[in-house]
Amino acid sequence: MGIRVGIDTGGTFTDLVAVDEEAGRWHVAKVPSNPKDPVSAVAAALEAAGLDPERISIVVVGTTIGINAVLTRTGARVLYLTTKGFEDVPFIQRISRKYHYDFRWRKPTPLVHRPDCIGVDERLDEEGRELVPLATRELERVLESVESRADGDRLAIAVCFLFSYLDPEHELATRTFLEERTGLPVSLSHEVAPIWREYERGTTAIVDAYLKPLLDEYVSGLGDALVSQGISSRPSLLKSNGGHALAAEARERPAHLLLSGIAGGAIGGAHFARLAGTEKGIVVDMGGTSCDVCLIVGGEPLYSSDFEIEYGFPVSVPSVSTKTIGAGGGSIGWVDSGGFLQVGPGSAGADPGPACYGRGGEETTLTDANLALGRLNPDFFLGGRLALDASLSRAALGRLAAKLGRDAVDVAASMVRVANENMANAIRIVTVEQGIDPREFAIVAMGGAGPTHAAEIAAAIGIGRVIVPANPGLASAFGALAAQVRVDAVKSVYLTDVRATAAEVSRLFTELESRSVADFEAQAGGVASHEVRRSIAMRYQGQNYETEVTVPGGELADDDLPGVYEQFARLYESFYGYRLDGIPIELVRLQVVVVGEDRRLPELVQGGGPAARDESREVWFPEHGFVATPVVRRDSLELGSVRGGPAIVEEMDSTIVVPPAWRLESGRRGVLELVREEG
Amino acid sequence: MSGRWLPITTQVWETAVTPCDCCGQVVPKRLWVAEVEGEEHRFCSPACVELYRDYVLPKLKGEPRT
Amino acid sequence: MGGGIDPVTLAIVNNAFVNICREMGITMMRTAFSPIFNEGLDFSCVLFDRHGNMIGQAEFCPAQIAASLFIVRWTVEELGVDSFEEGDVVLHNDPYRGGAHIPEHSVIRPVFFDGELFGFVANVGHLAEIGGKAVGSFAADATEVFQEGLRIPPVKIVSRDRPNMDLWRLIMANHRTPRNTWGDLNAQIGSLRVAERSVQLLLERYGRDLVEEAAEELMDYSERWMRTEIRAIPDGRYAFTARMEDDGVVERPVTFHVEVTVDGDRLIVDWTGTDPQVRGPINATYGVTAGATYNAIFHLTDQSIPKNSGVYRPISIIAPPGSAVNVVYPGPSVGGNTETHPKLADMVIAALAQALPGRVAAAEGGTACNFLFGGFHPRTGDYYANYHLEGGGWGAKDYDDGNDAIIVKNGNCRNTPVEIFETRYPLRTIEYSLIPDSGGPGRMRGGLGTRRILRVEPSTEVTVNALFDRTKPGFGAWGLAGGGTGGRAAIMVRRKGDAEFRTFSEAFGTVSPSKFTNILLEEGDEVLIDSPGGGGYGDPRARDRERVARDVYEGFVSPERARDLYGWECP
Repeated sequence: MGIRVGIDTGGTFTDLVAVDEEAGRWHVAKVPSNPKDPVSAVAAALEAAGLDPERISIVVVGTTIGINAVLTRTGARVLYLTTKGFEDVPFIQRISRKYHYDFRWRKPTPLVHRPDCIGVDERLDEEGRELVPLATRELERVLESVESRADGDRLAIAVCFLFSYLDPEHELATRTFLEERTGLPVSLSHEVAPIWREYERGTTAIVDAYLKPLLDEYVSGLGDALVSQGISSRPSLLKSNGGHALAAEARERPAHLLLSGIAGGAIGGAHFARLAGTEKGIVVDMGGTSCDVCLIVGGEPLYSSDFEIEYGFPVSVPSVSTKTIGAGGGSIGWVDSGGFLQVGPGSAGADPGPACYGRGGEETTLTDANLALGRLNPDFFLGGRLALDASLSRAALGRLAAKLGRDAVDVAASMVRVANENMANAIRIVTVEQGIDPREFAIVAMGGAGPTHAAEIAAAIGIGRVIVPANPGLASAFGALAAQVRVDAVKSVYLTDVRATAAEVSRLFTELESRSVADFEAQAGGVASHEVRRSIAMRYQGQNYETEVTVPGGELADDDLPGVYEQFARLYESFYGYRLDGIPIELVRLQVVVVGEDRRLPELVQGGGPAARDESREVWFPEHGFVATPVVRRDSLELGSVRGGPAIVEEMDSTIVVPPAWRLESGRRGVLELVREEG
Repeated sequence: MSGRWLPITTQVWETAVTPCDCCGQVVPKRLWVAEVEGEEHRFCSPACVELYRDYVLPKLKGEPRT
Repeated sequence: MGGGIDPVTLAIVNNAFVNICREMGITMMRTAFSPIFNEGLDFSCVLFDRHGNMIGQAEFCPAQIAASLFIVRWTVEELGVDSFEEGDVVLHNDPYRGGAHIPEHSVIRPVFFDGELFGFVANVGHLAEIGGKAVGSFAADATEVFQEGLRIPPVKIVSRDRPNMDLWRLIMANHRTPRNTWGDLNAQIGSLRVAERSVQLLLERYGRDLVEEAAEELMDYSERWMRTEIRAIPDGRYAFTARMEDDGVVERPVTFHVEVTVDGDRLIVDWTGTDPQVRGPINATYGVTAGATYNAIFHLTDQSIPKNSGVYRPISIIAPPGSAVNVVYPGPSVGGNTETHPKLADMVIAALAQALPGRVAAAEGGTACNFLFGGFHPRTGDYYANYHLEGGGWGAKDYDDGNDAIIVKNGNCRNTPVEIFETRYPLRTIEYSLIPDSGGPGRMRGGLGTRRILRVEPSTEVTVNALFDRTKPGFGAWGLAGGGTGGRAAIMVRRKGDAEFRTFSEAFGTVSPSKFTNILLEEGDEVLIDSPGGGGYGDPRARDRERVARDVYEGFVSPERARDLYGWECP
């Protein structure tokens, strides 16, 4: 027992949420981020929270440092070693285009230079058998190439040999040799991303090497910052898979930290969905520039390994599956050349920001539209820390309205509607990709702007329930706090229901599991109670996309397998409406997840603020126009209270819009719910 | 536009399709038969007669376009 | 906006139309069997009103833009709108009825709402094996459609949700890998049901009247927007002529000619002057020629115009029947879709180069490097067939270099990873690399082509077919504004024990070096596949020195060529 701390370092703010498990007390802090020195904002947040350093048991940090270094191309110089004949694979990529009819699009530029891609004479076949052995002489030749390039740059080595996921011997021997002789960090593809598809695996290894020196510095800096705050516990980092790991371990696999800054939202969203008693949620985390959407199924975020930094630039590691849409408070309204009103993906960002910020922004943003429609309170934005100028919003809307030949309120209402429909469409696509009917789901509204739009987005999809956590703007930091230690391990296999035996599948799972548990203990900093989950990704032979089927732990018996295949066929049928009996089923990947046991967090305190005053203002709603709408502060809502819409609920970092056909339920556990009235 | 619709009737063993004399696209069910400058042509639609008259004929005659 | 529906609702209905088509496509991608289908995404999805107007589409493969536009309209017209009942699915792949080529199979399902026909959902997809004279159904020396595969006119493969099993069995009996056909057709038909439900939900939500009115207005809107775009192109007549090296049957170049007339807010694209229909299968169907024309125009106009029937109204296409741009029965056409389409599209673009110098690009590699092979797998004994293709260099533009190694503009497929390829087929990949110096020189450089070398594994033999172009001197991707020609394609063979690679004409006596079928290769034989580079743009000597230096550093351009063509002095 002690104080657990979650920190989210975003582009604009660094947020902190801490829980004192003994006292059952919560602490929050919000400080400006410092992109040039990300560690300093962490230190500032810890200081601002005023916690007793000696009682801090764990600090989990979500960071965007990895993704930022890739986007700004400020990582190490990478030497890429690969099977001879395939040095150009990072350049050739997958040959498809982002858009059908666009001459302007450029292929992603690899993080390596072509002269730094070095062919190694070695070769395995598709069953992992050695066709060309890796000779010591060859390694010495490679060493010369490496040494000739060591000219003062920050250097790191990535190795990707064909079929190394079947037999890693050649990659391991290469690392042993080069580490010893050069002291440079070496990332091996079969460890970073043990999947088939050489471009995806190789690129992921390159990203890993590219970030290694940087992450080393960051982690050292983080450790020093904690020490300087008098904190004795070692820092942990949030990984792309939404689990946390000791920073000293996590830095060994930087590719797995790429989504560290995004994963917190999904984990936080899943936590609040469960808290509200549902296993099915759609997290809509909408901030100033964009909106991250993540599905929660079975109480957990969905995971995938097909994240792309940009089109055609994959980082194939287990990640919470998040789709980012260019829709946020700063999204700009504009008229396309066909005369349609569009909103986003362009954003006014935080600087100059929306017109109403009064920092010289000329564009009409979604925040301006919300302000003009009475949905935002100019005197209580960010809890009153940023005064909004409604006249600037009106002027900006007027300019856009003139282009459309309509009045300003009409344009503001249309902007909100277009933005909501864009998000609703994106959510539909995300659910269809999973074979899911979104109407059975609740929206978990997070981020500063999420709760403002959530009910109307929900209505557009046919969803009748919205969950709004306490401090929606801090939900990512909350996610870092709620995260468990988690290891996702994958093994690519090539089996069919005709050839697979229970003994072989069991053996592969056992190997994978013992390695995963060892990793888990390293990342947790010792033995800890955990749960192991196994699944197999399967498909009908010939297909390219898999369905994941859960399998029981322990030794499998031969008559267990038919049940697993039947489960696959049923899942397939439930998604697509038919099954294909008689066609062989391929087992493509074995997956093991080792995850720490769920920690019970004390309930967030709700209410307790001053009693509601009789406040109201004119707020615009579709089909109603401007309506006198009660405005309440969130901390004045009584536990268990229910009130009908329309209503506006204001809190420090967000504004909740309750439309007329919805009611507001102030549930227990610090979670508000918006529920659509029947009929 | 003067002309008439001519239904296309095919036997079951006739598996080819009929193209438009002017633009070349498939005419699935009925042809528009029209006379242009004294010659009868089979078109996909009345609109194609205009294309023929305004564009194809002048080009065939080598007339400069205005 | 002229009509009665507010623009916001219009935009929302339009997004819903597109979304329904995308949902259909994603469902297909996840459930289809042929790699060309699920990995290559060689399919398109469309939504039609009951009058045969396309009101929404999500093409995953640009080759089908025209095919998907015509097939539904013409099929509904041919069968008669009254012949469709709820739960029917019509199948057809007849290249003469709007299709792009015979491997592409269309399925069409009517959507009823409250017992009344609203419209149709449909998709077009490329099945990897449909019989005919050569495995993979890409018979590069076919002289008639009957050699290209099983031809299916519009027939009901499903009647009122009951599969017509007699028809299914007939199809299965004529394809070499019927199990894949079974999976692919099920994926296509299954996705129609998903789309049908989504259309019905949309109608429930907004009401039939509003949706129908919105569809009408959206078509008018797209038409107006396209007319605005065309009006911005200077009026005039712009012509271009190009050649392909041979047709696969007769060793003689084939000439194509286009004349584009910009007349105010309309375009006439006239292919008259193209050679008569040729013996071999590089003939384009009407669907291919129209598709290539639209593809080019979409590259030159605003991408965000909603793609519905309205967008095509200002464009007239003339493709003389019986010519190489409009094949008539029973002429062959399987290669027209992959080889002829990109050249036709680049011709329209090149013709407009003077009018739109800032928007055009030089020619791309322009061959899909179709390489098809099959046989019995030595490990499993199963019969396999594969359709393999390559990306080539793209043409340079006034403002930037062309991309390296990108699929032809009529497709948007991905390549097959070597690890997947070797797991499935008994051919070993020896090399997969960029070809330095293959980009056409210019102030902006054309993209590079790729080289792949494959070797037949021990204890097996493989039957191979190829359908390439641009392998002969003088047929490379053209440059623009003084830019040079891209490097050539190659498909060559080195028999086991032979010292060097030779053309298939030299080694096997094929008529065409780039188009042939049914060549048997044995253990240790090697195949070399070079994809072509893209054309350059502008005078290479005017190229920015930093760009030249970077090309030399990265090895995209050799120091010798940098010196000779770019006038670059090594510092």
